Order: sequence, then structure tokens, then C-alpha cells
Amino acid sequence: MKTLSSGVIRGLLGGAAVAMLMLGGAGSASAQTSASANGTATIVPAIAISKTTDLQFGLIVVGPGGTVTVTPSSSRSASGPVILTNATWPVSAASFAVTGGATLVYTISLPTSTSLTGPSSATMTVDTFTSNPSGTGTLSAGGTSTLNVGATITVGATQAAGAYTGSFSVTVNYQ
Amino acid sequence: MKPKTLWIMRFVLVATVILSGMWSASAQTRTTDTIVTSDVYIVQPIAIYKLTDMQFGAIVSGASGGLVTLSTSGSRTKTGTIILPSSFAGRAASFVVLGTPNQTYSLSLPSSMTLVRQSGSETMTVSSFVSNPSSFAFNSGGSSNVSVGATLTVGGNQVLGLYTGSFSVTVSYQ
Amino acid sequence: MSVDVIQGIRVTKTSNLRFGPMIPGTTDGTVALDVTGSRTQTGNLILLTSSSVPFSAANFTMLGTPSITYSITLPSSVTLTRQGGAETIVVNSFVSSPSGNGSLDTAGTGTLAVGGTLTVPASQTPGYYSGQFTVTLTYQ
Repeated sequence: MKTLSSGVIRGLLGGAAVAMLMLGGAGSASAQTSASANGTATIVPAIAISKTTDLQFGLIVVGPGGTVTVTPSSSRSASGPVILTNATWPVSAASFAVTGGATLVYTISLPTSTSLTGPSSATMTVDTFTSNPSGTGTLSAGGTSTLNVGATITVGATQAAGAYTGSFSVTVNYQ
Repeated sequence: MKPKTLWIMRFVLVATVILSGMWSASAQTRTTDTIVTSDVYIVQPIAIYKLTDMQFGAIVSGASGGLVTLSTSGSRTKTGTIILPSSFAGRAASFVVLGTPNQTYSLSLPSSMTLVRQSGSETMTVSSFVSNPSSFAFNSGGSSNVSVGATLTVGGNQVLGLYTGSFSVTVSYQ
Repeated sequence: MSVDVIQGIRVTKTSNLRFGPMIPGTTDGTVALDVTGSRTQTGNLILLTSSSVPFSAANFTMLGTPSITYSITLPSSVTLTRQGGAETIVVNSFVSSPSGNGSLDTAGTGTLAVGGTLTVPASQTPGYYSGQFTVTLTYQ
């Protein structure tokens, strides 16, 4: 469950704008006819994303069908099925480490839907992906950002019991 | 006036004076000082001052690099494998030129500028300097604003970091 | 919760005394900057106007005891020195509005504007000149 290009950054911000009222002075009398300006450019790495945690919905008791949702903060709720807390089947949002140029803004693209496949090719649809940050994120002064992703699975009333797995991709780009 | 009356008056007068003196001595005067700058630009006969530096912003070079062109309005375009993050944008250099109202003048741009990586020695070259306007004259106030853009050549996998340099612009009447 | 405490009269400067750009004439001249920020010249110097190089009177806002009266002390002259050099140019004949004395209104607010006259010799070395002076308010 991962995506994207990569790079590492150590960007830095250009200096504050020179106040209009305080013009750069010059050194000698004739220097008033010349003025110098600085030029700057910052080479930053391409943005990169790597997965740290998978999206895990944990243990679900089928009975009534319905949906189970895991939020980007890893809290789980269900409408229909019964959800059990179980150490063997932990619950967590997916978590990604995004790296790139310090303070740069990136856009986040989440999938529309994906499928989990279980015993005898039974499937469940995963959709309504959500993330935190949402839409866009901002890299820190150190050029990092944590992106958490949740989603909702639809469980059939007679969903076959067993382990279901799948994968999805998240894309990030510099805005 | 009867001496007695006169004496009373004098007494009253003296008493008043003493009282006044006491009031003054005990009255607090306070002051507030404010420091003010005064300045003037003596132009003789033409002068140029920088307003803003030239910034190319954040650039991802990619495997092949390419060119980043900074327009006189500060917008950037790129070629090759370059990516330009928009949240750290470019900015054109700008200057104000002062001189005789309505006169034309000449302005010379450099042919190139070298940017050197801070804490390093890698370089990138800036060339094809352009200005807006491209021909120069003072308005009726004796003022002329000039923006300057240029093109930066970025190598493939250019070493990361902040690159800096400087350039000069000269003005004259001819 | 916060509170702002004022001792006496608080003066906030909103602009410095700025003469703007000018080209000296063929004879010595002067530029008078009045309290409204208008420039008037003597001699044939050329006053230039540039939005990037503004000129203005020195302006201040004041906050303090309602209706308090104050007297204003201005310098007799101030010398501006060329940046990057030692040449000087002089401002004198300071004026203010109010002039001499003033008072805050019943809301404890007031404004003050200061102007002055710059003497511009024909041969003045070109450049950016600046200096500082103090405006003193005295009150009870």
C-alpha cells in the first residue's frame, strides 16, 4: 500500500521581501548609477512517500451486514456488524511517511475504492477513503509529514468467515 | 490706603507667592521622547535602487535537469525533468530608477550570473536576462520601475541546497 | 484576559520625516515639507515623485489621559549623513501641528504632525541620506 516518487529535502525559504521604503543604498558617489540584487534558487528533492502502517479493520463478527469504518485517527465504528477488540487482529489507520522539501505543500490523492479478497475468492469493497491531513498537507521544517488514511468496508450479511487482504495506493505530489 | 490694609495685602501677596512656589516644586512633569528618522534621496543626475531580489524558488531537478525561466512578473516555466513546487514560488528582481522627468535613459543588464551552493561549491548559471520595460524613460515624476527576469540552467540530479549569487544593473543617460 | 496600561502619553510614530527623491538645481535650494506632507521648493531643484520612494511628514498618534495638555519640543536642526559616505545635508525650521502645545481629546487620543525644511546645495553629493531626531512631549 504505497506510492510515489521520492527524494529528500532541505529546502529553505527565500529572504523576506525588501521593504519598499528602505531601498538598498550604494557605496560610493558613482555607485548610485548601479545597483546590485541577489539571486537565489533552492534545489529540493522530489517528494517521497513510504508506508509505515497498514490499514487494519480488525475482527468483525458477521451477522447483520453493514459497514465498518476506521478513521485516520484509528478509531473504529460499525453499523450492522459487531466489532471485537482482539490483540491478534489490531485496528489501525494506514500511516505513511511523506518526505520532501521543508515547508512545501503537497496534494494527496486517495483511491475511490478497492477490494479485499478472502476465502474462496469472497470479496469486500473498501471505499470512502479519508485522510489526515486531507486534500493537501504541508511538510515540516524538517521536510517530513505523517499522512494517516482510513476507509469503510462493506460487509455482506452472509460474508464468508476468514481473513481478507488487499492493497491500495496513495499518491502525493508537490502542489 | 491705610497701612494696616496695605500690610494685609502684602501678606496675602507673599503668601500666594509661597504657595505657588510650593505647587511648582511638587508638580511632576513627565516627558515622552520619540525618535524619528529623516531621510532624502539626492539624485544627481540619475540613480537606481534595488527593490526586490531575484528568486527562482524551490526546484526539483530530476534526472536530466532543464531550464527554469523566471518572467518579469515572477512566474516560472520549466523544461526537461524539472518540477516546480508552487508553494515556494519565484520572484522577479525589481528596481526603481530616478532621474529627470520624461527623459529617456539606458539600462544595462548582465549577460550572466553564477549561483553557488551555500556550504558547497556546485554552481548553476543564470542567463538570458530580460527586463520590463525593455526601453526606458522616466515618467512625469522622474521615476521608472523596472522588473528583471532570467533563465536558470539546472543540471540533472543537481546537488540539493540553497544557491546564491548577485548581479548588477547600471543606468545612464544615452 | 489582558489589559493594556499606559503611563503618561503613549506616542506611536506612523511615519518618518521623508523628503523623497530630488535632483539638486544649478543653484542652492530648499525643500519645505509641511505638516500635511506637501513639498515646496525654492531654487531650480527638481522634486521627483515615485511610488517606490515616498515622501511624508512625520506623523504620530497619541493615547493618554483625556484632555491632558502637553508641550512639544522639536530640534532646531538635524544633520542627515550619506549612507556609505560622510557628506551631510541639514534639516531645520521644524514645524508641527499642533504647534507649541496641544491636548488630547476627551477620549484620550490625539495626533501630531511634524515637518521641516531641507537645504539642498547645488553640488550635493548624490546618495541616500538619513539621520535621527527626537520629538519630546512634556506634560504633568
